[in-house]
Amino acid sequence: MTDPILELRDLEVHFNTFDGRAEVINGVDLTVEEGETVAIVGESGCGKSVTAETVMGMLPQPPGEIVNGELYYRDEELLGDETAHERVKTESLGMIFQDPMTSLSPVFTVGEMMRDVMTYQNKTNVGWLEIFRNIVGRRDVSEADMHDRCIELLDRLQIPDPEGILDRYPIELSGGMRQRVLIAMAMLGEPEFLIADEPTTALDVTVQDQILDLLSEQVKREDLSMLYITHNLGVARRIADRIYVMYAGEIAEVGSCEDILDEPLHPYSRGLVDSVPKLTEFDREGIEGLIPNYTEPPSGCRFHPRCPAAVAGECDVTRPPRFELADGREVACLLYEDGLSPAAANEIAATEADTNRGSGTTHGRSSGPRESDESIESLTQRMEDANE
Amino acid sequence: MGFKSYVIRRTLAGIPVFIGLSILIFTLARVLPGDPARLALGPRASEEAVQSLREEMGLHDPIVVQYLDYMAGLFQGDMGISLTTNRNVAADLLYFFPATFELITVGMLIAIVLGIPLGIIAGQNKDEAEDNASRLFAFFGVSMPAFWAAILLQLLFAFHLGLLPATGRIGVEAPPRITGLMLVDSLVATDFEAFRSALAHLLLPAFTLALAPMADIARMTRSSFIEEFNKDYVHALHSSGIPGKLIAYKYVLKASFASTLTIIALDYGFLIGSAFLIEIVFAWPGMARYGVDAILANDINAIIGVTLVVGVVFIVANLVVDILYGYFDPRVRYGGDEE
Ligand code: SF4
Repeated sequence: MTDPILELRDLEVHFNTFDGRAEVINGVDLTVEEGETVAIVGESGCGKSVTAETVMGMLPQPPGEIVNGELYYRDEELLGDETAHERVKTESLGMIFQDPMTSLSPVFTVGEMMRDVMTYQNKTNVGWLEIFRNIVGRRDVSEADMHDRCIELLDRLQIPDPEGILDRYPIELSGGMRQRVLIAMAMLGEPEFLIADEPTTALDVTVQDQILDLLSEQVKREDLSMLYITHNLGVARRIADRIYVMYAGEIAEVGSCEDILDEPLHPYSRGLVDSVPKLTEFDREGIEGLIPNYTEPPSGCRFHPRCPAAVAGECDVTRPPRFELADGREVACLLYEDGLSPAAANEIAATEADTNRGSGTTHGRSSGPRESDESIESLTQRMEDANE
Repeated sequence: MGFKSYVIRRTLAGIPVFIGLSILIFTLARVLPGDPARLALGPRASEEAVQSLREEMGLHDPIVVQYLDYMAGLFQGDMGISLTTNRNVAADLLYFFPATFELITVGMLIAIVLGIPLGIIAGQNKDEAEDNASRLFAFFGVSMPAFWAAILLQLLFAFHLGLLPATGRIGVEAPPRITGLMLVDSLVATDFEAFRSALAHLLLPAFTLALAPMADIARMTRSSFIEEFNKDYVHALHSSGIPGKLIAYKYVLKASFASTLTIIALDYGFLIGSAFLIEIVFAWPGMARYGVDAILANDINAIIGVTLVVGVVFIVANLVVDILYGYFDPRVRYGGDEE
């Protein structure tokens, strides 16, 4: 196997809050291979966005603090070297944000922003004179070239009337259009690695679909690698090759899309998958409880207060290590200790869950992505409501 | 909706404000205690003379009729006779107002040119030495009485350093009056000697006047700059490789300027109030003395005239700012809604 394009090792991030020190990321390992799309899935507040911000070098510090961990991009360590991180960020990384409504400057036209992105591509040091010239509207790069490049990208993202869009302010565009513009802007810098932080969450379901299609099209076309953050398993399945299920700042389970969706091993992943409605039975199961308090995280397995299969005296004492069950298939749950086979462990987990809740949770093919989206949406919504 | 229609809508919206303002001022002036006719003629005038003057001034008519009469006159440039100068108030104002206008406008320009960079420097170095220094300065600017600052500046620049004249408007022969704005008139007459002198006379009072709004502007720029800097799009622009300096001085500045503009409009209106005091300290031949005399003499037409002019300055300042606001922030043009 070749070296991964991006590797995160044992990341720990703490936040200083009014309530004390919150251990938000607690030992996260993550790899993305060249040309691969990896999704981090978890409910809001599980630390997935913090992970993305760390990779992007945009973690607000303070209050955040990277206590431990290494980040390798093409074998170059970045967390200990700010200039290298800055360079890699401008040269190779591109980011797509969650909220297209607030991620564009409200007071400049789309064209102006795109031209600025192009002008300063791969420039890390810019003098005052240059800044001043830009403000009065002068650039060294040819306007015509930039114009063509903008139109080409807007076209590629199927934006109608690209000429007209360039002279528009973001407020004149719909959410979907703005997200397309944001993707186009991220593509302008010809990145080789994209980080997408829930780029479809703020959009209508139908628009979500289009954006996902467009995004995967770009990724294929340019042969990009991508880290995709979402709370939505349906979305993850559509776009990703592999999924990391994240819970309370830890990786609960790693596997290919099929692995996770067809045979979730970790009780938390099971909860997530089960809350996707089945075509046949259409029952919905949420996961009881809330994301834990990070200032005093639960002892042992952080999931144990909510886990239907928790073993008293074990799960609340021992922090589960990640067991590698097969190549690229990892799960952090004590049920898989002693080389228990996935099937057997699954059996235990399933029966435990059934007796606990008194309802059948069989695996089954989940329905089309759109319905699943909604279901996870409502699950997460419920969790968010409970959080407030 | 284009920028042009926005400008037209804003301008039209100023008309009802002006009408409301004129009604208010007129009514207030009429219910003031004291008989203007008696005041005009003095205590020794006969009752018949007073009565006939009241008749002549229309003081017996219902107030609505009086108001309509006044407005009809106003549109023909007749604002009534001033009881103290015996000339038409319109002519008086035309004579005195340009000096005041020149003073407050130059004062405002100074406040903007110094206040905005101060605010940016403070905002960029939040809670550091630069920020504290600029906040201290702003604190002084707002809390120092203008007449006291005026005297200090006069002492320093006029008497000790001898750099600038302490009082008056011009030290050489004035250029022929065209606009009444000394700086403009001297340039039109290509009389640079007069321009230099007019500018020198203007600097001290204008700077004194600028202190308070300068502090306001710096404070506002600082806080909106800091607020704007934490917005999502700033992170997004950063991540797309646009240099930090450009984000600060182009994107954030333009977005945060809108709220600074609001303060500028308000302050511009208030400047005309503080100018009254400054004009007297610097012997500036503007509207102040005229206005004060009018109030002391209960010279109703002059009071109404002066107050109307102050009101119109307010309205126009707000209009200009509204228009600039629409220029700086396209959201405003679309009614401010998100969709
Ligand atoms: S370790 Fe225990 S509590 Fe944690 S997920 Fe596994 S069974 Fe549940």
